Amino acid sequence: MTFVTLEYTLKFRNITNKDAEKVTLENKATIEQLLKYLKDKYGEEFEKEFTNPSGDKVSGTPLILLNGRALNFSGDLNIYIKNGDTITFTYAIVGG
Amino acid sequence: MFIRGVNFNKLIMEQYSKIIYHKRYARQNKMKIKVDLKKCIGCGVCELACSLKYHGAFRISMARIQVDKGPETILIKKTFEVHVCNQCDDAPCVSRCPEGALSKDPKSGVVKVDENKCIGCSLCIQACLYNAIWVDSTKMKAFKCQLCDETQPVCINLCPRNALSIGGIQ
Amino acid sequence: MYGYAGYMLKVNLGTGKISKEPLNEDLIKGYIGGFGVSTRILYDSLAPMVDAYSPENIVVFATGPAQGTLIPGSGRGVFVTKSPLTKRIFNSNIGGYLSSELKYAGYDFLVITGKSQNPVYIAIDDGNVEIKDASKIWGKTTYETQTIIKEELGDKKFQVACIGPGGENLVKYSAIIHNFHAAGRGGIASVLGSKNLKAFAIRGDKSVEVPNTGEMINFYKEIAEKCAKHPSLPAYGTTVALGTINKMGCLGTRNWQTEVFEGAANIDGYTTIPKYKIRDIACAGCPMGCGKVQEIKEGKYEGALAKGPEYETLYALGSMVGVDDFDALVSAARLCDEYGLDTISTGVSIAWAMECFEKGILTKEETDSIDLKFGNRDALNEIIKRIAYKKGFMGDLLAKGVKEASEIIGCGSQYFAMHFKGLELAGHSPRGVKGWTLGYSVGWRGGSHHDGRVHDIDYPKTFEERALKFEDKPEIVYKTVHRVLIEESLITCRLFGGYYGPLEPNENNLKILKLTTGFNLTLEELWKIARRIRALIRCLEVRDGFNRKDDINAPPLRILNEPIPEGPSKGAYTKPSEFKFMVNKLYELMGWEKDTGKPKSQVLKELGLSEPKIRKN
Repeated sequence: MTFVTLEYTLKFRNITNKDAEKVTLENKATIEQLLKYLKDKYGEEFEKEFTNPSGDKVSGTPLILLNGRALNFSGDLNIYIKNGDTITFTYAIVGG
Repeated sequence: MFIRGVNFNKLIMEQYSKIIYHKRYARQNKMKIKVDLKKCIGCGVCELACSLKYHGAFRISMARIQVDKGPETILIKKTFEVHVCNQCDDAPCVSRCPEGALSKDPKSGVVKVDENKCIGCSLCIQACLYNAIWVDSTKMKAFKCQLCDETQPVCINLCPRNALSIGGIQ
Repeated sequence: MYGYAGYMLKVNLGTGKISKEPLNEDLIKGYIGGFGVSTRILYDSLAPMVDAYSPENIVVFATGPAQGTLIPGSGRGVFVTKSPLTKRIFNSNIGGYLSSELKYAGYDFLVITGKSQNPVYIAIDDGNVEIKDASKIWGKTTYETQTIIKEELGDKKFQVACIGPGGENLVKYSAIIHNFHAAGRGGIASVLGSKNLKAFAIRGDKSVEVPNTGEMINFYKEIAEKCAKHPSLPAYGTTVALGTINKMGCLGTRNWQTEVFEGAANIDGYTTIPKYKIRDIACAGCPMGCGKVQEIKEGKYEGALAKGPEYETLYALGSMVGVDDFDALVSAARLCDEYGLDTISTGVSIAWAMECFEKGILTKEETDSIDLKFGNRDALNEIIKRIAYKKGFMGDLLAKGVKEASEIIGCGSQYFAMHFKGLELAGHSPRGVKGWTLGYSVGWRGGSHHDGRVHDIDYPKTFEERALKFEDKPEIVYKTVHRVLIEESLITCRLFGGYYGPLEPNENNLKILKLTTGFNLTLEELWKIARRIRALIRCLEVRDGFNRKDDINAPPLRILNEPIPEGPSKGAYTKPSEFKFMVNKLYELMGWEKDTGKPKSQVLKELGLSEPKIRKN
């Protein structure tokens, strides 16, 4: 069993209606599997955030952080999640 | 009373006289641009759209909707102020005009300026308590909101926060 | 003429001469407008080695063809002068309604020279320009000043920009304030202060014309629709960047001793906006509305109201000084606005002093008995006041900026004086996002997060790519800096970097140029203009005696020696060997001589520029 904390901000918070939640995944779960689980749980709206946002690829690009480090979610997602990991769903930083 | 150089008493009196006027003269069921000040962000896109419509160029001093951009309005009133014609029923500008250049359209209720009659005397400006009529000093003619497009005036069309709408019912 | 007003307004405060000159077509063809043209004005009219506070220094307030139109993000203008902090050319951008009003008054540029004998302000009332007495408002804070000037001129339609006590007292990082907006960085306000220029007020009745109004409206609508869907800016402005950057472990904390701030959640926009926001505000013609006015309604700091604080201020007056009390932060930010001080430089300077104090390098005597420990939120307001008035040992010391202050105090404090080339470091980690080390070091402004804006490209990358990899950074910085120069000349807002960027000069820039002026440039021609501007800036630096040594010695030693000690970006830093590689590679891309950093002669020739005459000291 893998226990992880999921954090949601901005639009993800609106979609899931939560700031954070703890989920239990099977052993050797990957990010890919987690995403599938969340897309099933939260439906089309959640799924839409990860389909290719046309045009403004950078402003408004979703950002998934695994323990604070960004994942290239259009790349290889067969990354194993460990017990106690925190995965944050947020957006690209605009500031400064 | 001055707070940081702003004449507070003057502001209060202006507000008070507006409330009295509004209760006495203004009605709700007519065509006019309605402003939701809670949504207004002071961008002035309405001014740009309006001046583009009437002058084909960006000339916001000629816009028929005018935004007070602060910082006083925000510091004291915590909101922007938007001046656009209230299309009053018993419009004081209409009764004040010595040339009969202002009249209320019987069908739409919109108060219109007849440029052939207007001499640019500015008495309408003094009469208006919404500060929503101005004079073009190059042409010496008054100008005001006349609901450029009755279905979708350009300011409403372009306002990024939907702060503007057509007020009232026919 | 489409886009441009067609005139330059020149005011000599010494002689009182006011002149209006038609805009030179070659100037705009070669440099577009805004910062680009201002660079040329400075190169032609400002002698090398002139002191920033000399009457000879020139201040330009510049607009570009986009100002006064419906181009989203065009509510920006730029001040250009020689900075007292970096001692070289400096551009400081400001939002609000100032730049569009200058266009409506009939001018593209306001060029201020000389020094007035007495305090004055400039009133530009459409075609009529006057220099007016400012003795009654000298000493007043910035909001007061704007209100009084508008009352004196009898028209609330005037847009006013002014300096506060900070600029008057020649604080090296004092800010120019207009409405709630600031031209914060570089101390340009103190240049105006040295000229006895308190403010300028602008109002105009003229029009700005564009070739195709229908296409302009379509472009506005297209971008406005995207703005409405932006995940963070319309609702939170830049305030939520703090939480995310902290989560990534690259938030400058306690003078960059670490990059994880335990109090971040308390000052992150996600927490504060629902509680404190009372209004959104926008700059001229902008559908994004990223400004957030926040008000503290109770407690010790009741009544404190400020636009923002924006991300940079949350970093500088929050994590950098270890303060997570939002009320205190808003109050401090408001004070900086009232006095006219750059929040970034103020916060970084105080943070440096705090580290000195904790290490025993500054004594309680020197801090005027203030317990200058990290996290002392009650001390913030007191120190800010002292800086604005250069009061006491601490106020006077910190008003010089962290570079000079650390040279005076010495004892190794230069190691953690967090500036590049004299400009205090902005809130973007040179260790956590390695490209920043290069961008800050080779940029003409040093610690400005705009001169090599890797932001839009590198922040979303994986840890390895943003913090460890270094080979790709020169090309990224090379591309982004040229795009930023185009944006600074058109002028469009940096927050539209996602829509108009994000990397190099591109079709969007071309489109904006065409929509405003009718000019139909190719991408190659646009790139050439960008390269010309960059080369001319470099020539200005060369003429003032700067060279490779200033780039290669720019990073604070903390960046080149100390890895980030903890958090998600633990271990990241810029190795000296990596830094050397990046600088050399960037020089190559720029076409600069490896040993001196001067643009190569054939590059200058290609861009139509002459050799900068280097004056030996």
